[in-house]
Amino acid sequence: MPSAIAEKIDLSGLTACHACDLLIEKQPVLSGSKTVCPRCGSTIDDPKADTVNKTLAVVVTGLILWWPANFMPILTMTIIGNTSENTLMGGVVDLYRGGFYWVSLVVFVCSILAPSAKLLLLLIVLLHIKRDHCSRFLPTLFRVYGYLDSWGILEVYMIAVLVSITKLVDLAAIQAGLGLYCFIGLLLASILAAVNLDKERIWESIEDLCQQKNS
Amino acid sequence: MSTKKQLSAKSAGLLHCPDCHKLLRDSEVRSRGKLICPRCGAAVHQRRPDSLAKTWALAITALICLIPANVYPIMTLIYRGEPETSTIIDGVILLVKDQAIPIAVVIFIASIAVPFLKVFGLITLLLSIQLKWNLNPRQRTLLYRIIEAIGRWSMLDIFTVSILVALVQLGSLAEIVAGPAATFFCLAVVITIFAAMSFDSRLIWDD
Repeated sequence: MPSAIAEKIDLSGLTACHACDLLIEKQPVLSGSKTVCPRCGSTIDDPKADTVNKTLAVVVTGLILWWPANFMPILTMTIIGNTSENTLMGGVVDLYRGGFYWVSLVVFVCSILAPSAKLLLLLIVLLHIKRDHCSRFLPTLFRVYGYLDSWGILEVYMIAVLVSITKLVDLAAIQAGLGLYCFIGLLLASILAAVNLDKERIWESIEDLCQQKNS
Repeated sequence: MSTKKQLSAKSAGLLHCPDCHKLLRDSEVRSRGKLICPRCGAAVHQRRPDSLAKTWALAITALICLIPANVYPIMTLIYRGEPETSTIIDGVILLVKDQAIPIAVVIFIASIAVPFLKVFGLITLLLSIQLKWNLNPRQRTLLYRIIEAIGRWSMLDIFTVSILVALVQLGSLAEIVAGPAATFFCLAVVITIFAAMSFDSRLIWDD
């Protein structure tokens, strides 16, 4: 019985809420007009204007800042003339050396690997779309981007830097390094990339590109 | 009209892809016995298989990890040869004593309130489905969305430890080393994130 309905329904104008499974009629795509599920309140579609160009611009910015943000000193601490500094990568290495393999792995994934991979995957996918070029890996790459979404958490790292400063401020003189400014830039670029990215349109573009190639 | 409005994809015999959200017919996605999305290649299920059992298992594991995470020291500060170990809650108390109330509140919420609330929130959702509690499904969906969104903030303490361990390395003058709670806390946070992912919120709306 249900499958009989399924064969008859025209799917082109329909979509389903990913949070509650309600069938919803697709709204015309207008930037700034968000579609919200009438039943559960989740966002169904949030079209963005010029998503490919805008996202590409901030992705490139983020990738330029990548090296200094990861390898330049974030904070410098001085006690009675003795100084020491930390980098994003240094925290991972020191935890590993201290025998905290799992913690260092998780910190590496959440603060370095996932944020970098997200930018890199976006760069590849967006360049393919911009140049009308289909690769059979394209859907997989954009899917992996979606999986990494919950693990790239630079904003939490930023707050952790502030917490560390508060904890040490009585003990020593703390100075911000060049790495911190680049890190803030990288964080802003990542946030702007996420804000400007219209996943639904990207999926549609990928589908169109690869269908042209196949037919 | 109203009955048509409440039709779910499942009751119409349709599926939608968990990754790219494309709406699909069963006949379209079946290739070699498996259900694969033609647009993105993800495995498609009408409902995530064994969602409730997996979420239960992960939620309970996270709860168990949270016990050593809060009992053992998360880091030790060795200042001029004198070691001073502190647990997560010690860190919050120390900040309150130092008058850094806003930061103390942030750490308390991120490291203590959020992990426990997440696990108990998930358990509430699981029980509400299994025991068919008559709770407002819209509010339960909101609860799930909050659980999904706040989970990442628990990583705050782990990141702080990673910064302090790398920064405070002045030999005999001052040194900070991580404690065993770091591993358990890290595990608890990662497992709660997986637990939230394995929960299928569409089950809240199924009859």
